[in-house]
Formats: sequence, structure tokens, C-alpha cells
Amino acid sequence: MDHAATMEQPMDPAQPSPLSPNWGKIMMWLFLMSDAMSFAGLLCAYAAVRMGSTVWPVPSSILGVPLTALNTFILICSSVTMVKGVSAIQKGDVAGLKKFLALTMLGGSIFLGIQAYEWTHLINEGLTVSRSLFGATFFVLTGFHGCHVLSGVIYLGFILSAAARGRYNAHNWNPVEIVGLYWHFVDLIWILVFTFVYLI
Amino acid sequence: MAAAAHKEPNYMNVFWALLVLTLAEVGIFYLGLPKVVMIVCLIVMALVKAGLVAAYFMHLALEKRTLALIVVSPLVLSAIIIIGLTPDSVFSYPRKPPEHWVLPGQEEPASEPNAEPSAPSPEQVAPPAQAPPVDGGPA
Repeated sequence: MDHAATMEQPMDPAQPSPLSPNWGKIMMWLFLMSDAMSFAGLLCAYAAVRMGSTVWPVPSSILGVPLTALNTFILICSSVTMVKGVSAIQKGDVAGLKKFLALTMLGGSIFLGIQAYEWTHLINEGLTVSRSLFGATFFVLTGFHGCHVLSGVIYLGFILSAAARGRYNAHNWNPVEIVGLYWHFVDLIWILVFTFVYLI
Repeated sequence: MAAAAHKEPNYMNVFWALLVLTLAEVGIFYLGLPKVVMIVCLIVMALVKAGLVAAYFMHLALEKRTLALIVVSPLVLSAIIIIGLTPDSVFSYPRKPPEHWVLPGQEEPASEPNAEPSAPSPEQVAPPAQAPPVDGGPA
């Protein structure tokens, strides 16, 4: 029980203390915020380099916006399957959890496949990290995000295998919610990267 | 671990909002609005989308206020980075290297103050190599 909370007001069971019962969630949030700082640094470097350059290409003249918009849509869908998975296990539906975790992994894998296709296409066209500042910032930003998606798919794989071994039920699902936090964060970052790198 | 489930938000409504905002972003992008209007619209919509994901998918709106404070406080630091970098990026500064820099292809310093006092060889008398143009202008 959280002493400060009990002194101020009676505990609302629908509002768990952020500190006592669920420390794993706090730790994931702290990690995500440090990760957000990394992405903020990369995005700031991108903005500074771009605004300080004498010439900069129109991004959409090099990058394919429709394909990436589709990729954004796929990632948003995978976020929805993730919340459906968390919601399923909160009701004790292990089969639903396994189905939705698998669908989330599928969405992440399709995202990575499309990104690999895009990178191959761009590299064949001559855009590389060392060719221009545009290439350097593009590959570092999308690559750093892509590594997060790949890590997320692997992380989801571990949670799925634990779910298959019957580790989660209606009373024990914190690890599922925590992997969900990570997955939504990766989606959130992509929303920003898509806007700043592809559209603006 | 005594896990208490939150009251579940309507996830499909959040999904439709995200979908509509994504389509609107791509639509505005192809609309050909003035650049400043487009950029402001895109940034606002991206931040709204990010906020929706954090508030509903990540349950930030349903958690205790303390967690939201923990989460938002480091973002203030990000804002400080942005504000700190903006003057350097936005305001023009002379895009020329400082005089004392030795650039590639110009490794011989133009003049050595303490060079040995022997008679200068013809090579040393030759005019010092001009600094290569930086902005890719005519050589």
C-alpha cells in the first residue's frame, strides 16, 4: 500500500499505485523515457543538420510516401492487436492473448519486411549513409527505430512462449502489459519519425 | 502481483482516430498548402497522434497522476535541447571554415613563422595554394 495515497484519500482499487504493486511498469516507463531522450537527440540532430544545410532534397522526391504510409498503418494496427491481447488476458482469455500476440508479431514483421525492401531500393538508387547528410540522418533515424521494432518482435516472442506455457492468467498479466508499453512506444516514435523525415 | 485492470477505453475509437489523422496527414502533404501551414499542421497532428497512443494504448490517462508526472518530466529536457539548438540552426551564420583551419588538400601551412632562414627554394616562393571553396563554388 502506498502510504502517501492512503493518507490523502482512500485507495481506489481501479487506480493502482504507480510505485508499489507494479514496479515493472515503472521501470519500463523509465526506460522508455530514456529511450525517448535518445530519439529526441537524433531528431534534434536531424533538424539542426537539415536547417543548417545550404541544400536539402525534398524528402518525398527520394522516399516513397504511400508505401511508408501503408507501413505506418500496419504499425498502428499492430498496436491495436497488442491492446486487444492485454485486454484478452485481463479477462483470462489465454487463447485470445496468444492469437493477438502472434498477430502483433506478424504486424511488426511485415513492417520490418517493408522497411528492408525500402532500404534495398534506396541503396540501389545510391542513397547511403556516407553519400549525403540526408542519407546519414535517414538511415540512422529509421535504422534506430527499425532495431527497436526488431527487439520488440523478439521480446513479444518471449512473452508469447511464456503465454503458451500457461504463465499468464486473469490475475497475473503484468509482463503482457509491460511488453505492450514497449510496443506502443515504438509505434509512437514511428508516428513522429514518419512525420518529420518523410512528410516535412 | 496484485494486478488491477483499468476501466478499458474504447480501443477501436482510438484506432479510427489514428487512422483518420494518418490519412489527413498524407492528404495535407499532397494538398500543396504553403510550406509553413503544412509543417505546423503536420506537427500538430503528429503530436496529437502520439498523445492518443500514450494516453489510451499506454493507459497513461488511466494511471495515477504521479506516473504521468514521472513520464512528462524528462520531456521537458527534450524541449530544452530543441530550444538550445534552434538559434544555431535557424539563424544564418557564416558558412566558412575559420582562417586557421588546415583543410584537406592544403596540408602545407601557407607560411611558417619559424622556418629555417635558408634561401627560399623556388617551390616555397610559389604562391600558397588557395583555400578550396567550401560551398562548391567555381574553383
